[in-house]
Amino acid sequence: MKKLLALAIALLLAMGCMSAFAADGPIEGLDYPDLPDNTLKITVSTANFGTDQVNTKMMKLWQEKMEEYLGIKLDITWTTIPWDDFRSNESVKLAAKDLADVNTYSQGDLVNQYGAEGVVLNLNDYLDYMVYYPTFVEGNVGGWDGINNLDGSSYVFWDGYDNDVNLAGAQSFAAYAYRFDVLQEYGLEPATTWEEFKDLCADLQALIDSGEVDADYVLHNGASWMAFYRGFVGTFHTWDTLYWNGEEWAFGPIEDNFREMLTELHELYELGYINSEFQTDESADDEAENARILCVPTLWAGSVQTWNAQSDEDVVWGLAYLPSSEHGTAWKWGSKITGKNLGTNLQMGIIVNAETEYPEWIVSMIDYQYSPDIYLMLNWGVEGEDWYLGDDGLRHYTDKFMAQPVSDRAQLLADEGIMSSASARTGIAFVPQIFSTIAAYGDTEPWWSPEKGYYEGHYWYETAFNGGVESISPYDRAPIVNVSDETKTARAALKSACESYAKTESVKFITGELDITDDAVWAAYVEGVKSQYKGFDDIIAAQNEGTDLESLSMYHD
Amino acid sequence: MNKTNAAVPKKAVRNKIHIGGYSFDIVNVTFLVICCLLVLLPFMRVLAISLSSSRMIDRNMVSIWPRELNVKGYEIVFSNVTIYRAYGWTLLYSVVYTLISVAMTACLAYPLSVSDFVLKKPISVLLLITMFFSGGTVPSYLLIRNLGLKNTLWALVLPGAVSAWNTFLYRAFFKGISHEIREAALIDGAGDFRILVSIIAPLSKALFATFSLFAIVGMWNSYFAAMLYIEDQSRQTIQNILRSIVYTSVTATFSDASLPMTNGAVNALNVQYACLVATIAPLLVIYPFIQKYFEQGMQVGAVKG
Amino acid sequence: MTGTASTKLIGKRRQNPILRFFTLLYKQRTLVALCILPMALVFVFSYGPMYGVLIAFKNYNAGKGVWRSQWTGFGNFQWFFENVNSVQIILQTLKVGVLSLIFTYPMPIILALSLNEVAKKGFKRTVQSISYIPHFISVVVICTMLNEFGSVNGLFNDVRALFGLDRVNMNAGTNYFMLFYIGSAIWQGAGWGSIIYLSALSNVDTSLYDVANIDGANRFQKIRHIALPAILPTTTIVLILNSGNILSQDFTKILLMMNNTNRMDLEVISTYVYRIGIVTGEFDHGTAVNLLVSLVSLILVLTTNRIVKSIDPEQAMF
Repeated sequence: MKKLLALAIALLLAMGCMSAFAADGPIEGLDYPDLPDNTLKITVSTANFGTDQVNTKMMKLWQEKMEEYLGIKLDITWTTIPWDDFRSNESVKLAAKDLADVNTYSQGDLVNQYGAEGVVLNLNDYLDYMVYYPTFVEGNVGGWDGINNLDGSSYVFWDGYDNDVNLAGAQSFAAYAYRFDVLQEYGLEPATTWEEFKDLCADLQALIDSGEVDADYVLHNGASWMAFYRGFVGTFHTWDTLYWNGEEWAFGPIEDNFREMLTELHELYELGYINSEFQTDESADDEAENARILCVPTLWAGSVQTWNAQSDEDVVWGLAYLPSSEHGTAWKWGSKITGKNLGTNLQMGIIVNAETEYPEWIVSMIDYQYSPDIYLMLNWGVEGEDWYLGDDGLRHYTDKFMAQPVSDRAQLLADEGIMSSASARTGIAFVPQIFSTIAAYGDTEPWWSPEKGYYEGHYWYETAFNGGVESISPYDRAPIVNVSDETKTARAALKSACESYAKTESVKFITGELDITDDAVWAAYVEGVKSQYKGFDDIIAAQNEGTDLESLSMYHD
Repeated sequence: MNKTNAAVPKKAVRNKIHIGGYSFDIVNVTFLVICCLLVLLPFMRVLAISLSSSRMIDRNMVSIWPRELNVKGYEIVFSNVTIYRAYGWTLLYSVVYTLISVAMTACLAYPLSVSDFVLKKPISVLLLITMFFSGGTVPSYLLIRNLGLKNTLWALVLPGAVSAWNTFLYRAFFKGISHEIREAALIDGAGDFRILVSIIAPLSKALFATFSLFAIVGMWNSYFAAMLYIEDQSRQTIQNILRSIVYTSVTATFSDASLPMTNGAVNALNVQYACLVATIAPLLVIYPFIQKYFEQGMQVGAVKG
Repeated sequence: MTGTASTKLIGKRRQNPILRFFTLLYKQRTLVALCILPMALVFVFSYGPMYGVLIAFKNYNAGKGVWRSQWTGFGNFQWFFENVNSVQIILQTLKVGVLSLIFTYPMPIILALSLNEVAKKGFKRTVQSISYIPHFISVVVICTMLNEFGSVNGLFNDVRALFGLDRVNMNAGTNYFMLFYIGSAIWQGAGWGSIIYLSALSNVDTSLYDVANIDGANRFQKIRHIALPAILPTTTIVLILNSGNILSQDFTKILLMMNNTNRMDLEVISTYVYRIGIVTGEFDHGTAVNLLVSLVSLILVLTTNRIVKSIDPEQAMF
């Protein structure tokens, strides 16, 4: 009897112990620590992008889905801070080691320093607790090698996206905006080559000069904070910072192609085509809406829809792909890699406090945001209520949104917490985005191509179709680079210092304050760029040395 | 009673001044009128643009009168419900800060104005050091967090309550009045605390009014500290809320771009300038009330002696 | 005044200085008590974080905190002079600081003296009220206004056009930066800054004016001999304190006035420190530069004070 009792007690104890040390989690065969009351009580610090996501419908669904998957209750204290403020405070909080359990992150390589210092959790210690994030990593160039540091650590769940339509679309600096109403009235067409573009500018200027068209300038910048030349670097096959030019890593603004571009821009400026306020006018949008300009080469393609919505009926803005030059088809920047991906520019994501109590649960929780269960839901909303499957086999938003004016749809979506609105990033920012959703609720805008003439399209698709495969810039399909943390930090500092210098000086070349034709002036400028960061050449050399050319085979578009 | 007594000799004095130089007055008044115009013209421009249509603004048709009346900028600002709460909180921050700052600075400046105060030198040096050396953002942030002041009004109110600069200015003012008065009061058997409260303070109304105004405006316009220490958006200050209204239509925050987009049939300047009017209007409303005390204080000061 | 009390004390018996100190301390206990609360605030909020200056000599490690981070000696200072365009930044800082002081300092004094000469109270009050309004505007808005006014179609160009001058883009480059920066500081600050001086002028003994009138003094003489001496202590203190600000400009304003045409040319120390701290997280480098600025500012203030002292010992601050 005694023996039996002892055995029973021992068994009970053993079971008790087992349940105490190994709770059941979402991933079978893995031990998760036991939680008090079966509840994960954590703090989350995330950003809001115009709409506070916390009390939206989709946020509640996020929590329900998450609790169902994890099999526990979530007790989350949310702090959502406007994005601008969030970014300004981020460094201070990291340096003060004042992190919530889970935090939105936006500073790229800088995280490695904080990871090494024991502020941010090394996620690779918890790889077993991930199921869905790896599918995004593996879709990325270089896979795990591409995101891991040399010592095998990795501190960020990088912001991913699902390019489900498999199109290499781009949003900015991939098309020029023209006043289609003016072009059509005078029998003109958007330019396909740089020479044509210059002729077109001359024609348009003549129309302004003769008073036939009421406008102030032919050319203007889409927004003053963008360097004007970003609309032209693609045509001349260069870029505004350190980039992979197809053969090696180079600093764009000191390349000969860049000089050639500045020479051309200076010519356009001298001819009076470019608004003299191209780099200081803070209300460029309003100038476009009020028909004061005829062509905007540097812009975010989505601006065109806004301009058309805000302007008088007879003012029509439309897009055409960048003109090519003797260098070939113009490159477009930021074209997306197909499928699930993290992109080439690892800048934002989610970090976990190194001192958090239940990293296993937290890693699994964030990982689940990369599952279609969560991100499809947050990008589209609820089936039936917000979207339906059409006869074409594609998802469409319901009339709840589509019956409303185009300009109101984004806000309506945001109020529900649906991520395609872009002003609500529901869940813990950043849940992967699906870009095609923008096209699904957005209107089309006028387009022009040499084959089709004038037609209606959406920039997300048209930028992919019109340039073709040759238009994908080498930088967007760059090889992975293995360099030390110090080099990464130095590289970031170099980029920021030298880019700023190049921006300021290139304006002087365009306006003629500096003589672009003078070799000595150009040489002094190149020296000036390099002097902004000690060891400029060494860092670029290290970048080239660490390049893994084999990783280029990962791309298949 | 003081006032009526003061009015008579003062007027006589002023009359005599007039006899002295009409041409001086003409030049002087012209100078001041020009100053006022220089101040007012930009404001009229701001008001005019905030009330004009986007079309007129971009065609450069607006000078200092509104063209094609358009109140959409104001609609955007005032349709945002958070703004009213922000007004309330900012008012609270300002009032508490002002009270603490004026009281604490006066308490510190008075002993420093006594010429043989034993701790005068060490305290002056300690204050002077704070004018030049600070621990920097990160240690200050750690302090506020460790004291548990984040998201509370104390995070905004306490750190700047006693500043060396203000203390030195108070001290200079007290020096001007406390000289004989303190000695006389001490002989009458009054303690220093009573001297400060019932003799110095009433004589310093002008000073207090001036610095209250400084404090209120300072707190009203501050946004940096609030951005760092107030994470609870429902307690945010008016400046921060208006800042985010201006940027509220930020869309397309995809991982590689964050591009601002204006919203509605409204010019960016409509919203920005409506925000300007929204921030300074309350101050302009409060100002006359403070100015009343301010003027009284000045008169008391003038009567003295 | 109480000097009599202390001399009496010393006269009684020659005490040792420590004992004398404590006796006086006890005698002035009310004064000491008054200081306790405000000084507590100063100690907690100004001295509490002061250990942070150590970061200037360390390789700051967020995980270890300030105390346990590694010492680097003067490495951070060296870094500033070797890796950055430090000479250009320092020169630009000095240029902005000195010119600002020269042009903004006298304006409030002139305005106060001028207002003080106005006899009509209603007019005086109106001018005063109007002159304060710009101070109520935040720096963000000021910069928006500057950008709009300086654009080709802006208010400033409207004025230029009135005088037959070309319309130019005043926001581009650096040509108009100093004018805008200092002009807006005067516009915002002159009326507000005059409050202190008016406050001092309100304490002038009116009988002095009576005497002056009897002596037949003209207006300028009265300003020179009555009003100016009355505000001299205040003007001196403000000058001494302002001289310490030469190296520390309003970084938000400069940041907001920067654009792609002039960013590198306008960089001053304060914007640089902000940029490397907040944007790239290099707080150790930033703290080192800040410490240098603090030291130089302190020296500037002490020098100004010394100069003032040599002219008139009464007016010196310490």
